[in-house]
Amino acid sequence: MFYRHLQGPIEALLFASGQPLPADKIASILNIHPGHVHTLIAEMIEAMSVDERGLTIVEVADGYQICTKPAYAEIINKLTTVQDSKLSIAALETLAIVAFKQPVTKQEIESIRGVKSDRVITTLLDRMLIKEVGRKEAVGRPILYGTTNEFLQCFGLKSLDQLPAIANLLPDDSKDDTKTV
Amino acid sequence: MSGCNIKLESFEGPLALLMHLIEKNQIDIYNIPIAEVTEQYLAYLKAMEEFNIEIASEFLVMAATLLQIKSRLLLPRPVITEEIIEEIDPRQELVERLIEYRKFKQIAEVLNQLGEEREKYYTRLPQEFARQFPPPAGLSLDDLLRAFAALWESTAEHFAVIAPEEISVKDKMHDIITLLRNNNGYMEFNKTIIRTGSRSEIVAAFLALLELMRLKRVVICQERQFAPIYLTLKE
Repeated sequence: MFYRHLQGPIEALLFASGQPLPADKIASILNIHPGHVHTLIAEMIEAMSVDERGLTIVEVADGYQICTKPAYAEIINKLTTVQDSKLSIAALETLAIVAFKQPVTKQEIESIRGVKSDRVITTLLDRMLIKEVGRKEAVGRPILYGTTNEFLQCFGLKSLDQLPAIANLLPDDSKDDTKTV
Repeated sequence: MSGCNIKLESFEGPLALLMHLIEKNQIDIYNIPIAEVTEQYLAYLKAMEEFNIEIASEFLVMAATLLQIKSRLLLPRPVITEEIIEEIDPRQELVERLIEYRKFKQIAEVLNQLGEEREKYYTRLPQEFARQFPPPAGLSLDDLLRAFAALWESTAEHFAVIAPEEISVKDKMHDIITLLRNNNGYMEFNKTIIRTGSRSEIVAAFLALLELMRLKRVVICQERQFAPIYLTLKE
């Protein structure tokens, strides 16, 4: 591959960034075509897949991110006390509704769940998994909620386009009319 | 049904409780035996009461809904000859809500799995890059000197001395009394500003007025906020 000498710089950029780095940003820094970035990184992931390497590159939240391999999660856990920050069932249900129905109001969420959802929404806002995305042009102009980039990272999704694919993982009797985002 | 053998779990809401009953009894969601489900639902609420758990209003609304559906199903249907009119099943709305709720419950489970999968990947926190301010290029000491010289020359003596004008409260008190006497003892406050009309005169006039009121020389009246103030002389 012609540009192979750029794989070092790409690895350095991903390491320094920490956050997912969009391919076109990498491309503009290195003055190459974004297409080449995808090819180069695909090669790098391949090269990193050997057991001697502990890192890999994942495509998440509209970018590339360098991270440790999932196989070593337990080893890394020994490094630190992991604060358990699991989302409650209620929070997950609410997040699912926001993800698939966005932009969505609190009232719409509540009518699906059949319970008050103020607290859960506050929790999700605090954890930066959802955000206010505007106001609905209706009486009282209620706040509309949508998911964030953090949400994509938290669940390892490349982009919102992947959500319909999630719907396909559901049992057959629920596949009927999952709205695409 | 005895309340003793109900293991009291806590449910997020009435739909969660209904889903639980439906799953436990392996009920076909499209054909819910309302009588049976209602009975179990009410038994659960009763058990909650016995344990002195406060029952959220949503649960009671659902109980009422279930009873209403049950009663509508019990009502005899009018027999219509020949043509069979498609009746709306009273359970339909409830079933739709349950199906929608169940869908998101399942999506939530999928999200949970995805989250657990993703948690195995450790990442670094973003590197903090301090904003860099490179020095401006191509400047010399001469530029600095020139800039200083230009500034030095521009500060020519373009200024005038303005003497503060003193209008004392005492003077204004005299003004006001004199003016009132010349105006039959009645006039508007604004009309007492007769010297420069400056801010300091207005302040002085106002203080003078307050002083005159304290001395009971003048009475004022004002109909509402910001309306003209009228002065009356008391001789």
